[in-house]
Parts: sequence; C-alpha cells; structure tokens
Amino acid sequence: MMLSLSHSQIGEWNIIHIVGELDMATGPQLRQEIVRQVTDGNTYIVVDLENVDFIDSTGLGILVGGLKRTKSIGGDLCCTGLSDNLKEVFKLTGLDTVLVNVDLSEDPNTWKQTT
Amino acid sequence: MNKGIILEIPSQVEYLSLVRAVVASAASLDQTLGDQRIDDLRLAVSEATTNAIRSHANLGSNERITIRFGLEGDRIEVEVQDRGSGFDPENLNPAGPLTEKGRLDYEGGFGIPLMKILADEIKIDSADEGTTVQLVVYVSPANEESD
Repeated sequence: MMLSLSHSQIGEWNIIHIVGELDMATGPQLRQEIVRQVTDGNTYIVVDLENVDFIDSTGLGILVGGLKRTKSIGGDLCCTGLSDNLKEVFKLTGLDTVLVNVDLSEDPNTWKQTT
Repeated sequence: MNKGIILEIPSQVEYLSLVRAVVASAASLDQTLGDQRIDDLRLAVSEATTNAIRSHANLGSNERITIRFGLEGDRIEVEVQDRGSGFDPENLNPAGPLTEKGRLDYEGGFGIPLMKILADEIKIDSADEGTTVQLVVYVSPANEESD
C-alpha cells in the first residue's frame, strides 16, 4: 500500500498532505519527501496527518528525523490534523512534547517553536 | 484458544496492513471491546510484526511469520512468532525522553515501549532460533471503563 502525497504552501511553510497509513512499508515515502523538501530549500514543513488513521513507531521516528533535519538548518517541522487516536499515540510516546500540532487556519507566524 | 485464527505471512512490510486489518476485525467480534482498545491492540500487534519482519531482514531470511489470535474468556491473546536471531529483552536500553539532548538524533526506540503501554500483558520469549511476543488485552467491561 502506498501513501498518497500532495503539497500546498502557506507563507514560508510547505504543507505535505498525506493520505494512508504510516508504517514501515509506507514511511520511507514520507522520509524521502521530507529530505527532498529540505534539499529544495523548504526548511519549514508541516506534515498534514488529517487523513492518516494509523501511525506506528516507524512513522513516529520519521517525524523525529524530520524535526531534527529541519531544525539543524534553522527550520522547523510541525504536524496538523491529528485525530484523537494519533494524539493519544503522540502523548504516549512523548512526541507531543517536541512536535507542535498546528491549526492551519491560524497565523503561521505562531507556528514556530521557540526552543 | 477456543476461538482462534492463525495467520502466516511472508516476511514483507507490505503485509503489515493485512495483519492489522485481520486483528482489528477479529477483535471487533467481541462486542464488549471498545474502539480505543481495538486500536491499541492493532498498534501493538503491528509493532510486534514490524520487529519480526525486521529481525528476518537482518538475517536475510525468507521464513514466514506466524500470528496467532485467540479470544479466550475475558481476554484476547495475540502471539507473533518469528524465526530471527532473537534478542535479550532484559537488556534493552530504553531511549530517553524526546526532550533530552541528542535524543532527536535517534529515530528508533518507540516500538517496545508502545507495546508495553498498549497491552495489558506482554511476554517476550526470545532465543537463538526466534522470538515469540505474546500480547494480551482484557475485554472485561470493568477494565474498559477504567481506561
């Protein structure tokens, strides 16, 4: 099963919209996309998980890797559209302590983390 | 296991979604188990199966992975059995919190802690000839309410 990926832009933020399940089978697609975005100079990334109803440890790890990658070059990576189920997984693993869940309808200037 | 399903899959990541679908469908046969607990079991089994596939990949093994699902009284038991090289479950170094300096350098470390949190019981038997992870979720209404 493949992920379906598409893009949009809000200010300096590049939004990666995902449809599918994020696991060891599909995760490499997202990792590759984040790397491509950063290589293309898009250092502010939002991963839209609204249409993702499953994420496993591989998917979480890819988000951690993306956060590290963007921050290391002065950028940032956030998420949006988390379902209650995904919010719970983020909470259980502590991902909610480092990855901001943003609201795309809000001012993107408020999305950047201060740390 | 009185009401059991045995699933044998090729050791390929493409089969993970199938395992999740079967486990979720089978768990939903017990109508006292809420959606959240089914999601918990689905993720825990997926993690165990992912580890099994990874273990076979490390060996270059084409052996199949066995998933046994059973509804037994007030519990659902799922066993994931691989024929990998095994590991010492007592000797795992837990990754620190994500806020710890340098922790973001490491993408792994989520799988086994997640299984331990999501399942009501977990037992890992590992030896040179393979690993069996047994995950148990209670289906009693009392436990459901306490979540």
